[in-house]
Amino acid sequence: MKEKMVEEIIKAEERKKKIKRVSLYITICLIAFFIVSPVLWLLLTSLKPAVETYDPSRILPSHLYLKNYVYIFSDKFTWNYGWAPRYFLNSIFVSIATVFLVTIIGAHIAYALAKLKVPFSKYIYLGFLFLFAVPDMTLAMSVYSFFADIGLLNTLHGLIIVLTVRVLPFAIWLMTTFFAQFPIELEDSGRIDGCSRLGVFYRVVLPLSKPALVVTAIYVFIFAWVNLLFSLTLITSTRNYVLPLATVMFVEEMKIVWGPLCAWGILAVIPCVFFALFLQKYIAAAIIVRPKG
Amino acid sequence: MRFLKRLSRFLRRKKEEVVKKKLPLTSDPRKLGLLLALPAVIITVIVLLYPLAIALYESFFGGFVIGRHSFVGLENYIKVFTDSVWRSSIFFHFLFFVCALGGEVVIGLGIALLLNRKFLGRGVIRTIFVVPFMVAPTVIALMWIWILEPSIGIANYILGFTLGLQPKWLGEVVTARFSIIFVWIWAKAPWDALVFMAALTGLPKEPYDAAKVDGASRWQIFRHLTLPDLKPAFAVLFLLRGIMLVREFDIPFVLTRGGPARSTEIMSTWAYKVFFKFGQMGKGYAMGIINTIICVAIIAVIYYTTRKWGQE
Repeated sequence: MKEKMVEEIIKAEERKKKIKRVSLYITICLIAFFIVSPVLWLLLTSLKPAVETYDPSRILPSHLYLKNYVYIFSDKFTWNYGWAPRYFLNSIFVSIATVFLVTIIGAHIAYALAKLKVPFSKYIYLGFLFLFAVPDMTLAMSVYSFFADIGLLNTLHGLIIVLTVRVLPFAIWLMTTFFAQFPIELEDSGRIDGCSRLGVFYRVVLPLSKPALVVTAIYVFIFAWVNLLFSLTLITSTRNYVLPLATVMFVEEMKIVWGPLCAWGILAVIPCVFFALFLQKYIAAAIIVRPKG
Repeated sequence: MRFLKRLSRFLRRKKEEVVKKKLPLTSDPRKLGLLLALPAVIITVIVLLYPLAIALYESFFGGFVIGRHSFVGLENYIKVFTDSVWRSSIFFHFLFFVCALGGEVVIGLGIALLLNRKFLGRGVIRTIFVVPFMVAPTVIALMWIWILEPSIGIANYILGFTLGLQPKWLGEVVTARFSIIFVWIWAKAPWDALVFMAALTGLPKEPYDAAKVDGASRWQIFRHLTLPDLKPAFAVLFLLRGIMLVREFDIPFVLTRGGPARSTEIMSTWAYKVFFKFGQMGKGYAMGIINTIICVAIIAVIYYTTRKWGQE
């Protein structure tokens, strides 16, 4: 008798566990679906001809309609909205240049604040943090007339400089946190081996800090790639438009033609998603580094 | 007594040693530190502080972009405070801030707690969760404009045959405001969930096992163990997301352009319109300065309240 009862209890427990497992996986799938579905919908719409986009009951396109994408690179589009690849190239240029500047400048000051006894370092650090809190629009307004006076107004270089200054405090915050945890024994061993103080930075700390630098670079790249406000206010001719700005222009002017609009959205998203897949490990590392900051 | 004399002599000699040694520039840590910090400080002063100072100065002058200059004292500031759209923009920005920040943190935490166990496909989940973070807010807004299209968007189609509602999402005040908050939460909660998941996996297990043995209920464990353990994560999130929220522009701007009858204007979108579209430079500068003070004040409050949390 007892054995039967024990068996039944064990079976009931196992069934409960299975139900819990299954419901866990269902929940995960639901959450993942909820997150991915808008992007998926964008993709599906981009593959539909205009007639089908107006019918929301059609979820899947009837066939793979690539003309929306072709249209973006066609002459008619270029006549109306400018040469599409140019916007990508502008964005790439601006983002890479910003990453370069921010990483180099930021690494130096982050190391100084973290390891070298800079006077007032705590106030400098706090100062940068609060400067980071200044709203973008105020900065854009003030920089607008300043740049107009020195001729940097409608240029990509001006945009790069502004973006660099805007995201610098964030990069400093990230890298200072990392450098502060850098083991001092490694630095000391470098000095014992004959490095000068500055040499220690370039030859010991930097090479071993690659993960932190990569993580910072990723965040800065995304920030620069995605930024709308500064390009909207500081760039006036379409030659110098970057991707987000071009997207806004299309949304305004292409209003009802959803097919090509969604195709453009997908094209603008592909580099970012590609980035995410490719650098997933580093991003995961980034998220673990942060909470301890 | 003698010990004190010896100690003071010793210290004086040490001081002379340090003063006499003129360390070369790259070896003295303090000088080197200042040198390394210099480029960042210089570029920030030139491109950020100097223009801000100009803005402050110009805010006391009137005139349009192509008009003439004249000192008007505090008139621009009075114009800002009496501007009903500005007041409504501050109100909605505050509402947006509280709802969006609260929503994303709560939902992110909820998801993290749900997924805080071993399952297959963890890497896939991580990749999927990162996607909204990598997609440009502009494109996110584009996506949701399309989904929330009243007549041919899929949201209303689904709502149509399930609940029979066909709201004009971005065309009416309440739904437009709700949509902005919703889209923000959709875009940011997954990343918060990742942060919480990483924080949860780093927690020591013994207190939890001990609590379970002692018979604590799940709610008690959550309230007295989990939440305090997550304080550093909360601190980081509130500070960072708070800063991102007060500076926000992209999503509200592209989604509603300031919304039905200016109801979804936030600080940045309205300042943009006043300065760049209407050309009211003096008022724009004044608005910018006031908005800056408000933003820095909010962030200061968050920073000082969460400072202790991060030092666990």
